[in-house]
Amino acid sequence: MKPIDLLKSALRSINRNRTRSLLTMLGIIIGVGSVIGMMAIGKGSEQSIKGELGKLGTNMIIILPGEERRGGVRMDASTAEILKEKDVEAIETYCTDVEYISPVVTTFAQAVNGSRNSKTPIVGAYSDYFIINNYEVQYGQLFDNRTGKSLQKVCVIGKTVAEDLFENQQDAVGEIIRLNKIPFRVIGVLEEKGRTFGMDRDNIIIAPFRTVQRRMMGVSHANQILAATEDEDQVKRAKREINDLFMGQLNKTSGGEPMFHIQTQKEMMDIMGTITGMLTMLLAAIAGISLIVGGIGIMNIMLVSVTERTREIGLRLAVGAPTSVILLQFLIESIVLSLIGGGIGIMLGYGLAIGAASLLGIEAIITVSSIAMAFGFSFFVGVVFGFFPARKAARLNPIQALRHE
Amino acid sequence: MNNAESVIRIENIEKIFNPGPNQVRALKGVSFEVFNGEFVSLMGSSGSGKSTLLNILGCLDQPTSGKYYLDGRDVSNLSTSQISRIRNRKFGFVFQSFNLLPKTTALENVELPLIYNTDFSVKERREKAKFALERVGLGDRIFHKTNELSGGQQQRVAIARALVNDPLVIFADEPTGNLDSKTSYQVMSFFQELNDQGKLIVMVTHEPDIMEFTKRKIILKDGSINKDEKLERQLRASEKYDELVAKDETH
Ligand SMILES: Nc1ncnc2c1ncn2[C@@H]1O[C@H](COP(=O)(O)OP(=O)(O)OP(=O)(O)O)[C@@H](O)[C@H]1O
Ligand SMILES: [Mg+2]
Repeated sequence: MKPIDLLKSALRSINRNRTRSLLTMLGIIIGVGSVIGMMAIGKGSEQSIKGELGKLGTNMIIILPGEERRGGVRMDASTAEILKEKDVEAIETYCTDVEYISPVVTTFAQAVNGSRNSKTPIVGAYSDYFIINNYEVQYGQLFDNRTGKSLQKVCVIGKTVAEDLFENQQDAVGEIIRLNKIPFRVIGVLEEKGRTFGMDRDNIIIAPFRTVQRRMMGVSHANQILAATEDEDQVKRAKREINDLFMGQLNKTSGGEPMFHIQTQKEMMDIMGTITGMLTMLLAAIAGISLIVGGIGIMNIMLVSVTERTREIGLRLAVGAPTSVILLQFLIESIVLSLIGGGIGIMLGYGLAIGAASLLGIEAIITVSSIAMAFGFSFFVGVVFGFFPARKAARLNPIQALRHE
Repeated sequence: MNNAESVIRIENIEKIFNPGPNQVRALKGVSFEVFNGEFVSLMGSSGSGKSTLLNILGCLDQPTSGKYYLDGRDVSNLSTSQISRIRNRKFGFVFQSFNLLPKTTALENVELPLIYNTDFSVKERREKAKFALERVGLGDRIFHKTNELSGGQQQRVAIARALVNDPLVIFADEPTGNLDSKTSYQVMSFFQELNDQGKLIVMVTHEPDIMEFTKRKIILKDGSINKDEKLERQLRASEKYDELVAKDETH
């Protein structure tokens, strides 16, 4: 029997019992569909998280007060105020791999312009903050480093703030707004940044560090120190330099334990990558179980089919079909059944992934490898679960098979 | 006897089913030779072992002991794949219950044995199957589904299937068992025609009037040969058929 004959015969017998074939395939369809769907969403969310983190700048290093602990951050009042502006100078002096650096303080303020107002996060930072966070100016200008270290009451506002406070965004430049009643001159409006992890990055006001720290907050510490290197591959070294400096010369320790911790964007991305990767694998494993269930469904129906077609098998054997060809015929039938199910499952999974992804606001990513894997799995399921029924068919005794009612 | 000429030669064939205390000795040492061009009918009462013998002759079953030479070659100890090949190339089978594939055209049914012979291309298969159907007078029914055909037509499709591979022997187990006399005669006339053209046919029947169309009868009794004789005067099935048709018309 030629391969094409085997294929034709398989397709014909599947076609002959269309409803049953479809029901049989359902397990595979759902299995493959969920594998594909989950992988697509998993990959999509992984990429979106990476993309979001990437938007924040991959060269970024964040120094935070409090020691990083498995159970979270351990912090008391003295630890919370551990970061000082002079630490920034020390880093600038000693850590050669650090290219950009800024202390950061963050608070909330009521921003008022005439009758318009908006509750907005205020950031106090040096001008390097713009570079580290990829902030660009749309109207007006950003403040420079000298201003950033000064007590000047100037600020740069994000798009959302500009829209909230002004009729025309362009008009904002040069205007005076009040932040917690303190008058600030708006010198620039930032380019639109969009959202990161659902947070509006345009709802922000950035002012010189000391202005916010002393005038608005009345504190002497920084909430965090942001740094960045020129190149991504310097990040690791820079982190070590900062750590050595803080542990040694600056002695920011308590009982030998650090009172600070240093995060790099790259580490965050790696952690996120592992987490989403693990999630994807977990979901795929669950979906894989439904594939096995689908395979059992196929085996069940193939056994029914062999029983139903006992006379046909007997006849084929009588007219000289080699047992190997009978085996192959039923094996191919179950493989074809499984592959068709797999194909439908891929389409279903793709459809579901697109639907779910658009709800989640991410992109569904279908990789060629996931499609190949789905087909590979279907094939495997077809072979494994089709083999037993096929062997049963091949081992039939022709005389008894022909007598079968 | 001239061994070189015999197509089938069996020696002391025994068949025991369910060996043990409840064993059934279906064949108790059967020997005979069949030569080219013969038309043999195996007769005997129910349970005498006719089907068992025919199945062994058709290599669908193996004897418990004894020798079977087909075309001079010992086929008692061949592998399953060699036996499949013999059935495929050398034999044609016609069964009492037609055994056609359901929901399939006459042509595809007749093609079936050729599918398992890779020597033939798809086109050759088609042509041979069509020709075989024409030989049994069904040239105008090739694309009919088998369940749309009458019993007699179905059996003729089965005969076409049995001769499509130009076999050495056609084996038939009660081919007229499910047919009325008129269609039985028609089917027998096709067998006779094939036999006239030199085809060797071995047929099981328990109807004496069907036996009368053959050239030799072997009567089994309790698994042994009771009688084995040439039939001198052969009736023509086509004449009987015409008689019945004429009778139908006068009524
Ligand atoms: N597979 C089997 N297992 C056990 N006994 C069997 C088997 N096949 C046949 N027999 C027995 O062998 C004997 C011969 O059976 P066989 O079918 O050859 O008879 P037959 O002459 O063809 O009868 P019929 O005219 O009724 O078809 C019977 O006693 C039957 O019961
Ligand atoms: Mg019988």
